[in-house]
Amino acid sequence: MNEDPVPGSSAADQEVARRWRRQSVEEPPSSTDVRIRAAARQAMATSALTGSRTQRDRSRWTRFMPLAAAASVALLAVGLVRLIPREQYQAVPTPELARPGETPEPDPAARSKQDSASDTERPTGDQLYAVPSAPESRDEAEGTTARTHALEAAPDSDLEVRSAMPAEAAANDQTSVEQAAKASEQARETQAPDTAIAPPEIPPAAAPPASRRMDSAFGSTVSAIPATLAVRVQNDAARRTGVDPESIRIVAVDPVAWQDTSLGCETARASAPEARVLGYVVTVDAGGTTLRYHTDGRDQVRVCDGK
Amino acid sequence: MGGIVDAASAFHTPFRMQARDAGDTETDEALMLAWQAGDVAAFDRIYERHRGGVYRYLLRHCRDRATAEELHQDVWLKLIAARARFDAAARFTTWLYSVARNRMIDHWRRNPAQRLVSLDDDGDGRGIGELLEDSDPAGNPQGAATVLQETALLVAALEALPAAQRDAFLLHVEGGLAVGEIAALTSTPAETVKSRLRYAYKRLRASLGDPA
Repeated sequence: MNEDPVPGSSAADQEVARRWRRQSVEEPPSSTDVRIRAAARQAMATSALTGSRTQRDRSRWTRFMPLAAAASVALLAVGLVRLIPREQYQAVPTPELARPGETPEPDPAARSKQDSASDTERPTGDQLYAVPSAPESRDEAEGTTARTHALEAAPDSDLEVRSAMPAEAAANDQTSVEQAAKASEQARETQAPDTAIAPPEIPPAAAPPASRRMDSAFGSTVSAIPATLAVRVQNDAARRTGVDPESIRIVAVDPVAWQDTSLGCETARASAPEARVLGYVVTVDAGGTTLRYHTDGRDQVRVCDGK
Repeated sequence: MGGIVDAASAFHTPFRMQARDAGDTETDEALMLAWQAGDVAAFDRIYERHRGGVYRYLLRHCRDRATAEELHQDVWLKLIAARARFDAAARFTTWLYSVARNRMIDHWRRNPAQRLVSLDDDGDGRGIGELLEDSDPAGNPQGAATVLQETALLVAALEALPAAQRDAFLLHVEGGLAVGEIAALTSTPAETVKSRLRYAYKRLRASLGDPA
């Protein structure tokens, strides 16, 4: 119990410590001191240099980071767009619609194109919005195709599409339908894949619009025209012909621009307000019977034979 | 615990006065912060304070001057490289001697035979007698003989101690560490450190003719 609770605090221990320090006086040689101090200075210099370089690199990175981020986003977007299958964004038609009673402003660019085309190619003035090229129109005017006959047979018709033909003429002239189908097929084959099922648009004056020949079953045409139109055409054709709706096939789809809401039907033209209506001429094969529908871009379906 | 602090302060004051210049009142931790901030002169002051203690701690353990110099240099180079990791909340001497101790242990692991090298086996020709001459500027032969005898006795007693007790004693005397700091540094309970120190002091007192 006489032991000191804290070693080194007693007088005897402090005397031992004093004697120890008295003899324990060795020190490192000065050469070692010099090396250590030099190392400390070099480390500080290196640290300052590295620190300033790191700061410089960081500021450089900070400066270019927004550009790098923007470039990365752009590359990512381009990559994603390229990865999307082309059919997915080409098969969705987005026609410019005009409901009956609406009078949308025509696209200035399209209007100027139409004006120039009408000035040079259309003897009937502004009646035609999406007429074929001048030489083909003249060929048609000379009676070289059945469709031209159809147009000439109805000079007052609002139908402006070269492939369109009044239903009564189509019913009486099966040959013209086959010719139109052949022409459509040839055009389809020569067209690039990305334009084969493009959404309805005004065809350029120099390039005749091609009919969209549908080789698939009726249901698959939903991807080419709005589903509402496809169903209505199917139901109407089945009602008119008594054919099973499942066996009805769309033969061709031609985008057109109607001059009024009659959709090119003479019987309804008198009461139809003028409006530019983008739509389709849909040719249907219903058990051997060919029907030609005039539609708008959404849900209006009409056969102009009055049946 | 207050007794421990007081005892440690009383014990360390003479040693620290030896290392510090007059007016050098900045703590080691403050100097470390200044050094971390880029003040090279702060390192010089820290080094001046602790160069002797670290060197003697290593020398008493390895008992070879050349090895002690090599280890001493390694310790300080490690400290220089790791200066950014120093936590100002910790005591600098604890950190410094933990680096020194770890370096000593590494040396023993690589060179176990060197633990038996005598302090007199000095590679550069400096023996205990020469060291004692350095420690006695007056050059009194009688005093030198007394110191030589006393030094031999103390060193012999220290070398005869178990390594753990010797380590605790050196950390206490040369490093100026308190019991708690030694306990933390060596990962040993404080009571065990006390016991080691108590036994070491007792053996050293006995070597000087004081059986108490």
